[in-house]
Amino acid sequence: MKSKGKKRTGKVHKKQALVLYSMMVPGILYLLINNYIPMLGLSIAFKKYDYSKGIFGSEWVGLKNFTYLFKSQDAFIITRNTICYNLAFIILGTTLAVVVAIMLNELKSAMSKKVYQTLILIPYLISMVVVSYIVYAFLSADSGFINNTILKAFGIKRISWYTTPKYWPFILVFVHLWKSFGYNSIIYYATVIGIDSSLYEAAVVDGATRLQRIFHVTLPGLKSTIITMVLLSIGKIFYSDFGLFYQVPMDSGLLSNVTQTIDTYVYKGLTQLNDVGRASAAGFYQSIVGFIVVLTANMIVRKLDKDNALF
Amino acid sequence: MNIVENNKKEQILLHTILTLLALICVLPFLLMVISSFTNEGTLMRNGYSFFPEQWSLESYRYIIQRGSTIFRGYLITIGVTVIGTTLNLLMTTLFAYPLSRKELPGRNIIAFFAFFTMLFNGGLVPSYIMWTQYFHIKNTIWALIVPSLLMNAFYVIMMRSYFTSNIPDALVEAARIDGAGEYTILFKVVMPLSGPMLATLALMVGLGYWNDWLNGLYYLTDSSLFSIQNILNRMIQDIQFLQSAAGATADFGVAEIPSVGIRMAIAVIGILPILCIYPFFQKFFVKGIVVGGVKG
Amino acid sequence: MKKKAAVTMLAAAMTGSMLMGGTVLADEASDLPVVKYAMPSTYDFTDVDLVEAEINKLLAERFGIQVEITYINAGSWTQQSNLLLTGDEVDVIALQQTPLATFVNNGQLLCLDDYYENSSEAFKNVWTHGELEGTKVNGSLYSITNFRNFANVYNLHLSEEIVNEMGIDVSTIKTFDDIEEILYQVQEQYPDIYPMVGQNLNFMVNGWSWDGLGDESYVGVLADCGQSTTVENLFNTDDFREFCEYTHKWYEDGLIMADILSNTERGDNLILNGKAFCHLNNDLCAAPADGIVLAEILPAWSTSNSYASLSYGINSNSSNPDAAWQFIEAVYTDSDIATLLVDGIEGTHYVKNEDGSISYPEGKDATTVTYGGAAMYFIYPNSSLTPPLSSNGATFFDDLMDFNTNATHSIATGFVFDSSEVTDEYAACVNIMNKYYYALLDGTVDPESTIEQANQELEVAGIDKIITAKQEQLDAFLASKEAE
Repeated sequence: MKSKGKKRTGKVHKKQALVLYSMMVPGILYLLINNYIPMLGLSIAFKKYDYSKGIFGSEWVGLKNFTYLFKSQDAFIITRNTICYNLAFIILGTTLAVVVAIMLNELKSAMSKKVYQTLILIPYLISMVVVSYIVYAFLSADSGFINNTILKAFGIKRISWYTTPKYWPFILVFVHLWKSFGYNSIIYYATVIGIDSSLYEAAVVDGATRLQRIFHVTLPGLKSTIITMVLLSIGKIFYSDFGLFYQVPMDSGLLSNVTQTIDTYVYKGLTQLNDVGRASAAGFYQSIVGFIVVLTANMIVRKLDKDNALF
Repeated sequence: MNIVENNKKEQILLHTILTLLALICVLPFLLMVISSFTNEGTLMRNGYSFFPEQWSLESYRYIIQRGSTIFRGYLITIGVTVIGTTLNLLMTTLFAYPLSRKELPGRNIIAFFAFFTMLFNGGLVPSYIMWTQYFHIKNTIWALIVPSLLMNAFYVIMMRSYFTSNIPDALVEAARIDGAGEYTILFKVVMPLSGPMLATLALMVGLGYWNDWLNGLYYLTDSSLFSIQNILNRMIQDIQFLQSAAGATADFGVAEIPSVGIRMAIAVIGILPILCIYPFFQKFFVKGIVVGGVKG
Repeated sequence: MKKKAAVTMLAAAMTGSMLMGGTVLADEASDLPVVKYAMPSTYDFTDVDLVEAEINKLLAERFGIQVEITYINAGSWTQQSNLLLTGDEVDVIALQQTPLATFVNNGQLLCLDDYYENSSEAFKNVWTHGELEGTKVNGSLYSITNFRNFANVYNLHLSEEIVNEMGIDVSTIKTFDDIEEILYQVQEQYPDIYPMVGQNLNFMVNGWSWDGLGDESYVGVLADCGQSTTVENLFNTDDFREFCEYTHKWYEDGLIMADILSNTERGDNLILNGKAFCHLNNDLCAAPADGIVLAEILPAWSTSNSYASLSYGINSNSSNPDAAWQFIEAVYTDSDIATLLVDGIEGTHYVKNEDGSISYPEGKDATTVTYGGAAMYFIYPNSSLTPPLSSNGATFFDDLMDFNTNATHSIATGFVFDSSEVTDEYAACVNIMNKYYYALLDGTVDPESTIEQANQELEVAGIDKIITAKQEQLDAFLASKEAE
């Protein structure tokens, strides 16, 4: 039976393949136009972009556009911050989202599933600028909730949040998780409810407890989605959410050792210069690193579990 | 009996945790809504509060007075979201399904072709030049639909991974043996089994269109085409601009600068419709048909 | 029924907007060259087409050109104007928010030397030689400055109510010691309010007595209102150190709002809502808001880039630069055209008063009028040709000219720093300035130790190289000025 199946799926008729390829034509065309053609513009990263000469007419400058990313003392700090925050986001974010998705699935009442789902999606809908005002409402030294209500109730002295760096790694991670976990858990939830329910029935017949079912049916069913999502976020490991790191700390200079990332550094360094070449050099650098990291990760996944590799 | 009791305890525990999480999500939002209804002076003197001393509709009056275009903005947003989401789902599914067929030669190369676009992009300037000078979408409704939002490799990969793990090969094989063509298989066999994923994608793509204001920022100067997010963002941007630019350069400081309450009201206006629609949308998040049953 | 109505309206809105997108190009019936003109605005005018048609009648008759006006909201300006400049979507464009030298370096602007040489007498009379110098880069003219305040006066804004209650004579407040004395009194008598807050957002005051030489991050400045000829590290200037020592003392003593670095409100708003007593502010020639009184601390002076900070130039990708220049001449010299452009159509968008000033039509104001930018006169090319708003006074534009003439000018006026040879160092230093500048200015940190640390970082980042470059360019500029 097994070998028979393999034999059959191993082959695909030429005509079938052509039909399958034809399905992909609109998508391929769109990616070509929307993504690949503009990629020719990556050459700007190696040019001094001159508006009057255009992308192709501008002069080549080699790697000159890249040097500013490494020359300063802050180069280490911004790289460290970007990577560490992303690692925290990936690990904690994935765990939280998966746990919440499973909890939603284990709920019996359909009504409360809906209510919880709606409520946890709310933070995702609020733009970062407004999030920064909400955070301020909680942390403001004079009128903020935490100082005025919570710390006061415990008789603890006010904390000047926006001038004290040591709290910010936690605040930023918290804000990120708060904003994104609802959205991410919906992705996982969709996969969970797609799991073949006969598997659960079989587990129940075998007398498995709830936890056993989660570990032996739900989590294996989620594995492929989790791996995909993690691989995709690893590709973005050198990027950072500008709003989170710039607007939420209110651009407070005293916090910059823990809030500065590659994106905020580039933004601050280049606003006055409006240097398209250096800006795309930064983007190129972020992409290349992400590319190498994700290729490595994908290779490892491929070795361990071929079906779940991205490509 | 023991199991039932155990179940009850478990349910209570689940509800406690989820309620706590939900509160963490809702309270800040509530604070935002209440601030938008708080009198400006109160907000400034007492700070943000769940129980403001003095309520006020001033923020909303300000927005409605300035934004006679808000209604049109909503219509444009709804239209763009519906059209864009439909096209996107269609293209994404058509792209993802062949990628999920393990027997298709070259599928890894094409998957990589799609994935590559997630890591590298040419940046704004080349995209802008292409879309405006060769496709002439500037100041047309297409500016809000086509660039960057029409298909996204991320969704393709998610969809593919769903197909791979949730659609049994045997099912597709069986349909083939019955003489079904690939398109029939996709639309008649695979899609009906993908309800939860399609709903999720529709939600994500729809939210993407609803929340997008970058396309409008780049490709629209004609404010009669502004979506609701563009109108709201123009207000926010102008506020930020007026604040930061009031000084040595051109002095815009003379113009009145709206307070925090108005910014909160702007956010409420953008979010409220989604919160109203979303519960109805959730009926699509139901369990797919029992796959094993169809097979026979 | 309702559903159907909504769908119909949606369809109508969408087709309507698609059509509008398509017809923009179609209604140019005449063969005259069309100049595309773009400028920022903080208002949303719905009657632009109407006014454009009126302007085009005059332009066709007097200058043989047509114009297409695009207002872009000020918040998106930097983004959108740079995108417009990638092609020929715009001919005449406002230049601001980015240093003029950057525009020139990026090849975004056409050199205007020849056009200016051959321009009409009327146009040559608009700006003096010195004023034109202000928009030159490397000796060539790239843009024409617009009419607005070129100087800032630095005032202390005080709550009128408290000033009256305490019987303070504001004319006696002149120095930081005077301010300090009153702040302590206020702290004692009004313990519930902030004696002092910032001008806006996270800054105590926007600029002070240092001239960044066209660089708003202040990496290398001229101290003493631009009267010194030596480029220095801002943190080493006496001006700055003295300022920070005062503010730090005030901050430590609780005179300054504790949240100043993360403040989100304007100082004036805080005063008017009874939350604060005073703040420093860079002002123009204009009356303060009701309920606020002023005490002048630093007399009016203009920075080196005051002319270049907002000006009008021609896109280097423009398909018809000759017509573009014609348009520039038109809006700078023809008062009918300038008035239409700024104020709109008389009777529809404004009414004339007996004293020569104008008012909005009954029941309208700056934000609700369908066209009329008199409230942002300082963005238009030459509003001195137009009638002022009655709220500013009939003689407003003359007052403004006097204000500009009487201000102290930086010795480097017209100098534009070109950072292209030290870009890497500059980007690094900007980030460091960002870290410390506001924290120091607002008094939140100890000046002595913080400046020492900041200077160490700046040194590693290469500030000396920037200062040397700035000094060399400045010396060359001053020498060439002397030679004239």
